[in-house]
Amino acid sequence: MNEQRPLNRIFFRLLWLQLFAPLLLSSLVIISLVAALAVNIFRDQQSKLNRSVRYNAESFLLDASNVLEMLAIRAASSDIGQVALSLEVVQRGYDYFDAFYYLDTNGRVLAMAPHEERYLGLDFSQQVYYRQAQQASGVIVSQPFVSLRSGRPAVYLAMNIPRSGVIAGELSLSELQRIASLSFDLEIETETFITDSVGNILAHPQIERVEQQENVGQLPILQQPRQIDRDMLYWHDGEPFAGSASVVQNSGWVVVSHARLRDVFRPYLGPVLLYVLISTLVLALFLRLFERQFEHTISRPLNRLSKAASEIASGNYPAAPLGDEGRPGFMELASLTESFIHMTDSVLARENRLNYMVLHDPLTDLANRMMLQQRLSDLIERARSHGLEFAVLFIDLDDFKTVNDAFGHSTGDRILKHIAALLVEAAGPENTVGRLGGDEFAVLVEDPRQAKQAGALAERILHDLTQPMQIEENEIYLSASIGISAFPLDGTTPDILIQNADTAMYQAKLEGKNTYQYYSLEMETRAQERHRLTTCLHHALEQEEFEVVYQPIFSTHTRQLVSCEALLRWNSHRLGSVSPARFIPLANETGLILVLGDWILRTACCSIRALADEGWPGLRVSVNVAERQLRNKNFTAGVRRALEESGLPPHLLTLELTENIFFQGFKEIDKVLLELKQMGVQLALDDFGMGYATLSCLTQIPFDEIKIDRSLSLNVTTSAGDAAIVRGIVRIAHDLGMPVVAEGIEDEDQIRFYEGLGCDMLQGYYFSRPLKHRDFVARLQGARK
Amino acid sequence: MGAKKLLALVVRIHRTAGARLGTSRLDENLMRTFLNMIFPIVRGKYHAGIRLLLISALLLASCAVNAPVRIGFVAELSGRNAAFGVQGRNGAQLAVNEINRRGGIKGRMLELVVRDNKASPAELIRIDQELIDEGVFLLTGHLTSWESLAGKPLAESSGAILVSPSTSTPTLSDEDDNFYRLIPASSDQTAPLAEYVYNQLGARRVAILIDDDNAGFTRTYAEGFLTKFISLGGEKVAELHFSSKAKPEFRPLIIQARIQQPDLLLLVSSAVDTALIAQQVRLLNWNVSMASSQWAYSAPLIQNGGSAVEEMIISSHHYDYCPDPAHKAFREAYRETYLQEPAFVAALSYESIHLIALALEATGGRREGLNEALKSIRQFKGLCGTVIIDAYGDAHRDTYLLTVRDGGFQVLRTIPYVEAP
Repeated sequence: MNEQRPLNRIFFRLLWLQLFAPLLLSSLVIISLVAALAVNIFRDQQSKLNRSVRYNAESFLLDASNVLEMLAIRAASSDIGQVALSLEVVQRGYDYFDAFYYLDTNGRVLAMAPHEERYLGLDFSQQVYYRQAQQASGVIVSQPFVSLRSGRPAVYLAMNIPRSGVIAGELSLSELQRIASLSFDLEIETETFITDSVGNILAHPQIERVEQQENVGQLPILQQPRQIDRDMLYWHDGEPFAGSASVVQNSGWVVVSHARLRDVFRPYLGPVLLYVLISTLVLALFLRLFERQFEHTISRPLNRLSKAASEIASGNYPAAPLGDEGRPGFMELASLTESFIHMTDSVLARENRLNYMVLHDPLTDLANRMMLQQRLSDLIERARSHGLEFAVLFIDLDDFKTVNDAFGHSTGDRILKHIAALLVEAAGPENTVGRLGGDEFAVLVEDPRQAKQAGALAERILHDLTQPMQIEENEIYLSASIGISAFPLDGTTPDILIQNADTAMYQAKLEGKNTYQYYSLEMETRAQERHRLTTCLHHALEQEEFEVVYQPIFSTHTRQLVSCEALLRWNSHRLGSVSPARFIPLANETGLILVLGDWILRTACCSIRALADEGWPGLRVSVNVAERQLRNKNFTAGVRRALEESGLPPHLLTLELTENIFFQGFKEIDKVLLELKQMGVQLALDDFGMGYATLSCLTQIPFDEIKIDRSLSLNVTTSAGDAAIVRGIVRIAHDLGMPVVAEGIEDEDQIRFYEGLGCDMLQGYYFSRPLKHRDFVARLQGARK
Repeated sequence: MGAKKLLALVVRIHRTAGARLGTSRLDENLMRTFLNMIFPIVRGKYHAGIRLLLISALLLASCAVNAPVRIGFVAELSGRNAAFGVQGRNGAQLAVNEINRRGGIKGRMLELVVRDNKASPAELIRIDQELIDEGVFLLTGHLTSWESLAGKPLAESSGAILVSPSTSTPTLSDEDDNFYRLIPASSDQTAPLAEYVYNQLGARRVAILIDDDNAGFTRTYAEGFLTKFISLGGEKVAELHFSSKAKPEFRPLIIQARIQQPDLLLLVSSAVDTALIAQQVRLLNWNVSMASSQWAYSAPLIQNGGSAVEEMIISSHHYDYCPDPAHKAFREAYRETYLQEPAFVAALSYESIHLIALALEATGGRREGLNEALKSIRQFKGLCGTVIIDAYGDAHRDTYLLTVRDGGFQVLRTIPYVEAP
């Protein structure tokens, strides 16, 4: 039922209604006017006809009465023979009398004309006309009776002749019939008949209705009052009639004329129907023409627009929605079409843009991951069917985060754009360059010849990237690590190819960055191992697999145990003992280092404070702090809480920092270190001499001590160079008033060397490996003894 | 759809619907006129709703005009004996008007279709056939025995139902058929009449004048009378036949009868003929007792007979001055309408229409079950007491012996109907 109808159907239905209502109305008005006129004209004519019939009937009756009176006068004054002769003569002269009877005072037939022997002497005293005549003076008109003579209904005129009897005349109803049949040349068939006072038909065009003495007293026009002439409309025989009735004087007879109304209307039916027909036809023709015009100017263009709209829905954008029709016929539709075209253009533009956005990286305009994957799928299909090879380069900028932190994100973005341009340039037009996100890029080496030497391309990229970049006022140095995977050797799906290239890239990072690696299966194994390790690491803390161990630090002068370094040990239930070198970087990457760092700090503080209570009050402890921890803005609060909870005096806690914290572009570092200093905590520069050994940082931050890296200590006795460096470091530190701790002491020669330099403290396996808390306490107790 | 096809369809639907509903056809001309008027609208490519509206209005109009139940009244309405038929028709028409004024039969009007059989059996059969073809299934009229006998075979074969107000020939008695009548066989009258003339008038020698044109009634009446009269010890001295249609001179017949010196003249003839015969008898100064059948029992007997029919004895199952209020009301209505006294045949015709109406009321105006409905009416309140109807559709009622006195009918004796054991 919700079906929508087409516009032209709705519109034309309304139009039909609007046009037909007036047509109907006008037809009704015209029909009623014509009907009223027809009835009036007809009734006028009918009335005239009726009155003239009445007049004729009256004259007839008057004539007949005169004849009878004349006979009565003669009968009164003549003998019976003369009367009989008179009857005979008169009957022949006035043939509307079928018979005359001369009855004596007893009602017996004395004479009759035409003469019939058998009736003479009969007793007619009970005949109605005889009795009527006896009771009246003058001529009476009887009801109709079946005549004994003729066997047909007849009306009797009768007159009493005092003392002589009654003269009666049998009136021929056929004369009345003739009178009733009189008609003007009325176009309309009207039925005129004469009845007696109660509706018994005396004269009627249909003779049998007279003969059968039909009574039509039920006709509405014959209902009371019967004495008055009348014209009326009435219902009879199941349809309307127009009737006229008038009363014949001295008889009670009624002349009735009536006609069926539909006969009255019949002559007018043709013209009226013609009018209705013609106006309907004209209207229909007009509407047909209009409909065609409508179809042409409205429906068709609208349909075309609708078709165009569905085209758009299915993804086609027609240039001209109206086809070759050109401009539509009227203003509204023209503007609708214009808007439609405009809308089509905008939708098309937006869709194109959307498509582009979906598949491109907004910053660099390179293909994004989705497009790369699509492209890869296409490539794989093509390569498969043609037996070709191709390669995927996964490029990750080295330490780009540092750059971002150092120069801000907008600069970072400019760099990325610049790099994108570099990559496109390097890759050449036949290969696809995309950005996978962040500082990760990928190059699909589609050219089969190049694909075989993907390493060459990688090298070129590395070379181009390491060129200094001039971004705004900064000169930026960058490098990247690149992983390469090849189809079909290293994978046959887009995901696996990218993932494997990623793995290779990671390996390149591990290899020291600024290099490239082909993917190999063992990388995969390593990566899996790394993944396993990460998973276990996450569970390690809650399963208490970590343990803090303490490596004692001794005074060079006194050989007394003065301090210790708290170190983390991981005894995994599943992996066994895991070296910090394996899991610390992981913890750093995953952020777990924050939790671990906090945990070790608090554990160490508590332990040392407990030892102070147990009689080693001056014992100090140093804890390693990773750069990531320092960045955490809750770090200083965490240190303060650890101190407050344990009650360890701040000066007994040394935080060991590596110098690379200064190269990460962490601007707040000064503020954090200053806050720690103000708290009273000691700061040590750890692993000094291993990396850049930037001397400037020694002055930049007021460190409380310097720890010489283990790798330096290893060779001080064998390498003159290393010995010279250490010597320099110790001297500079002492000049700056900072005590020096030498790490990695493994034999007497090293001890002697450091003693010679005046190095303040020593730490290493020679003295003790890192000890569990219990063993560490035992060692302390042993030293006391 | 073409105009002609549509017209044919509408006419067919209308007829079928009419037949289903028991209505008869609408005036086809009127419908054609109407259809001609609306065709421009119906035919054109117009709103389907308008078309539907017009057509349904047309159909509704044709069905809503609840067609009347048509009852044929075929009687001798012209000629010398027309008064009998006219009286019967008037009585029937009076009943029809009365029923229609009360709302008809379940909303449907009754229509009396009057036809003149012109005293001819062939004409009667032709007219009956015509009416039956028009769908009329109820025929009354058939007042006299010859009419009923002539009409019965056709009615029998066509399934039409005949209800005769006044047929009394015993030939139609005791038959389980679709013929019903409102008076008993004439034998119910003839025995009391014979007894009366034998015992009260002392009549022993009877001369009988018989109108052969209604032999079905007249002969059986005469036979019935004679059987009883002879069994009582009477004697038939003359039996003379004539044909009323031939307008015979009665004087020779009467003289022929007088030669046998009967002490009773039995005139089995119509009212007019009986009157004329009686007049001739008296003109001859023959003071013989006369008796006649109910056929003569009507106003024309006295009108035309004058003093000649005084003291004539007449047997009848009806009496015009019956004191029953229903009858009084009927007489008044009749006199008002026709300015005449109703004859017994008018009363019987009036009763027959009421009997028919009673049965139609039960079938809702339909033919189906009408026979059963009529047969189930075993008692019926007539104008003058209760009418008993037997299993064969023959009525039984009281018998009256009447005489003419001072220009009017008087009851001599009432013989109540006693159901045969």
